[in-house]
Amino acid sequence: MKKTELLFLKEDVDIPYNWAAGRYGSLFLTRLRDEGKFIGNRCPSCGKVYLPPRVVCGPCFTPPEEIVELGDTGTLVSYSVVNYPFIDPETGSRRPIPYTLGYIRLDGCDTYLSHFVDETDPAKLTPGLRVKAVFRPREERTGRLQDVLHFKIVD
Amino acid sequence: MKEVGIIAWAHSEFSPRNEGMSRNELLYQVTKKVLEEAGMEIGQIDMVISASCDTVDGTSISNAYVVDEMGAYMKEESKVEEDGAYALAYAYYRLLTGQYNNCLVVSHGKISDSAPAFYTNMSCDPFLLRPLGLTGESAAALQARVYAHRFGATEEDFAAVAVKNRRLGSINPHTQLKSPVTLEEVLASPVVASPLRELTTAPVTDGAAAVIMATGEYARERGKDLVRVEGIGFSQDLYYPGNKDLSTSASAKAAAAMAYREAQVKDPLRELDFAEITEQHAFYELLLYEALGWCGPGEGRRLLAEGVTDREGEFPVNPSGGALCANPVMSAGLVRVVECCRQLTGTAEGYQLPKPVRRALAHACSGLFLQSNLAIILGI
Repeated sequence: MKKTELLFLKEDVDIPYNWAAGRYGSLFLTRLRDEGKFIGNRCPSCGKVYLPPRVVCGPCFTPPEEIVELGDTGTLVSYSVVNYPFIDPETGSRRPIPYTLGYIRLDGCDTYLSHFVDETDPAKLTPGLRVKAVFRPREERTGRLQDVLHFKIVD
Repeated sequence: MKEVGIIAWAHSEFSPRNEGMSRNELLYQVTKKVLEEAGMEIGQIDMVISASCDTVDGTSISNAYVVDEMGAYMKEESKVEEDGAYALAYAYYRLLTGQYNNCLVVSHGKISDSAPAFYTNMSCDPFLLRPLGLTGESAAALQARVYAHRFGATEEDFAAVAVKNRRLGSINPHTQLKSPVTLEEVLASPVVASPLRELTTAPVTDGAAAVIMATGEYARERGKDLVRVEGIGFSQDLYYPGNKDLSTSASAKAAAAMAYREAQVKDPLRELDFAEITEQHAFYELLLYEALGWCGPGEGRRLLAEGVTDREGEFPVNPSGGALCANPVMSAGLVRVVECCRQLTGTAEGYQLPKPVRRALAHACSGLFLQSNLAIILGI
């Protein structure tokens, strides 16, 4: 058979979504935007405090109806200095590397929040560090998780 | 063979845009409701089979996101990327193995988070169909024209399906569109894609549905009535629409034949009492009367005109009002099962069929051009 030129069809799919955040999601995001505060919720059955607030406590299958206001400080539980190129879903272009992803347990909370940490020097990072949320200025906040810019190390 | 059936059923409220609820809230609500109906705790559920669509949800393997809300924590859970009625089929076969007592089947689709045309266009292949902008509506319109041309069916014939189903839906308190429409109103409604009009096309619906299935032994031990699954059939047709006869649905025929064989149904119109089918377009109903073996090719409109498939008829089809009254994405077929269960147990309050009913067919479909079809025979 004669050699065939092999073609590839390039397509960028523009995906329109408009996700309903629901009651808990909306409460969490509006408080983040308007007051710069983290809201969690507590399961009445096992006492676990969820951040972000959840519709149901999975293990108990019970709605954590008690709203809990949390502070902006916590402990770094895990982290990774990410060093591979990745298209940032926020900007559509390559995110500058390296950057640090962290797992943060806010004080008074039983779950871990995933967010950025403003430190990429591995020598300065270790689990157990105290961290504090840095919010964007009020006028830049739009009711998204990114209203928190990152967490910074405080000790 | 082992007896397997349905012991409880539920669905969410149906609305075009459920603004107050996230998909997680929708799912938790319907899961809680079906457990209450069964008088069971989540801990008594052996396994969960879910149905959802990654494109609608905008999340890869989107069941992972809602495990907590559907009570699947620390349980076997698997997802079907099809209507919830297909999840029921998988649950049925798993329960037949004898390894499990029961299964929670749950489906959801919050189409208002996305856009129906986007989701159906994304189901098209990127080379041949997607660049044309083909969606659920335009695909169905092409098929409707083939059907009409081959059998001499008219827009009035299609409109008559909408009139029947909207009239039946108007007495069903659970459905979305509760107002009847006249033939004139249907024929005067805006053209979506000729020959389809707004009122011959199913509405956009956010929703979720759930059933709890169990073995006969499990149901009897707990004093639960069982709506038995007597037969299931499902089948896939070719993908490319140009490669198949669009005036019928070969896979609907094959699915029905498989279900009838298992349930030992020889003459469905005599041996079944009614049916609930997923007629997302009015002409689907006529085409499916034929494909599901209730009349000959092209005779669907005669069956309708003679009143055979109406509420008082010999073989009512869609006594709930069908998908033309509520079309929850990924749940429309499972809702057909729920509606069959209500009629079979005499709990279709306000729209219970006037004649006694013991055996029914529930139909679900998936894909453009009725590519995939599923038939379930249910009995008490």
